[in-house]
Amino acid sequence: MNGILLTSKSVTYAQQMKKTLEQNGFWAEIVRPDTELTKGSCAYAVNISQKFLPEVLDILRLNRLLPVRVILIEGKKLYRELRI
Amino acid sequence: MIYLDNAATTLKKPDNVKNAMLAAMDNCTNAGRGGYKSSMKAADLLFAARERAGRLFGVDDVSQIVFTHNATYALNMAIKGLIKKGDCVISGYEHNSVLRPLAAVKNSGVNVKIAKGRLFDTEANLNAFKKSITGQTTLAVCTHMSNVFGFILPVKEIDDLCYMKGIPLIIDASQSAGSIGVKLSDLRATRAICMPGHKGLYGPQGTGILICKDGHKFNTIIEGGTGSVSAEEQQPGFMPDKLESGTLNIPGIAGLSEGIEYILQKGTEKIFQYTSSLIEWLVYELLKIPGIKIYAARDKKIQGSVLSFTIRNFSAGEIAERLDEKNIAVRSGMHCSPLAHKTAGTINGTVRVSVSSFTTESEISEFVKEVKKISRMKN
Repeated sequence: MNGILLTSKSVTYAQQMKKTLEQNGFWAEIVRPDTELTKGSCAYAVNISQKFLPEVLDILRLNRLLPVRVILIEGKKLYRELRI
Repeated sequence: MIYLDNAATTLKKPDNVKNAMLAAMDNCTNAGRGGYKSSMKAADLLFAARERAGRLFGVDDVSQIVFTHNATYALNMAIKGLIKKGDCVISGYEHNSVLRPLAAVKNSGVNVKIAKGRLFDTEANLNAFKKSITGQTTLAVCTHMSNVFGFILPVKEIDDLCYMKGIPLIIDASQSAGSIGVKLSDLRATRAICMPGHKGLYGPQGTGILICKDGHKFNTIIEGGTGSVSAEEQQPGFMPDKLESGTLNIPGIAGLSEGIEYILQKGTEKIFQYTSSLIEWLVYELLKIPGIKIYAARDKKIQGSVLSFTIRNFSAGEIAERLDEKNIAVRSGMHCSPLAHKTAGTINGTVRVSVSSFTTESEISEFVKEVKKISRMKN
């Protein structure tokens, strides 16, 4: 998997993010990230394309659906958190 | 069987309800727990159900839609979630699922005040609320439609009143959901709308919905696994997880979702018009029977799909029994609403007839025929 993971508090929140992004023309996929990315808790994330991150964050901010964390996937098991 | 007890539960459901339940049992596992296909299918099913409920009840933020086991659970969660010391004002037509949770918290400094207004008198009931709400009031609860008489209470006006007084309102939509439009977006003081899935929403038993405004501010009465922030000992503070602990009834919600879709397609107005016309006709025919007393509104706009009657020289139970002998199902007695009977003066109970969008005119005809025969036995 490559791209950006937008982690969320719950599956419902992830679904809301996905729905909002799709309504605005952005591809989004819900995935279950490694627990090391979610502080040991069960959680869900929305996978999006890295090149659209600024627009995606704008849309989510407008809809009060900002992610908990934004994680850049740089390779297998290589992650970097981005500050928003 | 002629089934006329839809106020207890609807028997006939849209075909898709059963199909969706079976499909869910085959293909869906637990939502919000795993990342595998069948778990995500369950999660998608839940989300779609929330969206449908959101469309029907005017809720943009679907996280405020909470699935429960029935309306009683939803009412307990809403009442105990919002209750504070002081007065709780309720209408004179509340069901035991409102009275009993309030009775359970009476020792915590909660005083229940009943805004008693005459049956089918909208103005009297609104004035009763106006008189009852004081500076000591911390919560109001009102049924949208009486489960005994079908009386549609002026919840919009009561919401306006509560808003002016800064009082949160809980609406019990157990009988109205699916046939009378009620949208959270049109209401200002309302913090919760509670309903079962298995009556006017045509879902299966074991389902219910609690619609919240700022649900994250509700106190919880149940805590447990939510599939989220599992490392934390505390119940999540965000919705719907805060108010949805444990495994949900996924097959039930699958069915409920289809029931809601049926209503969205048909339209609540059309459903109300149809059931209203059945009740109007029923009243017209029953009035011809000597010795009968019917509790119905003159204004059909405030008469829902439930009707109560009594027959002189018969107990309500006897009438229901005789109808059962003819394979006609109605309910008799207090209908879990002793307060409604006290308010209306029907302390010996009534026979209750309740229709759905699947009730046919021929069923009503047959019912009237049998009631006429019964009344002739002693009148």
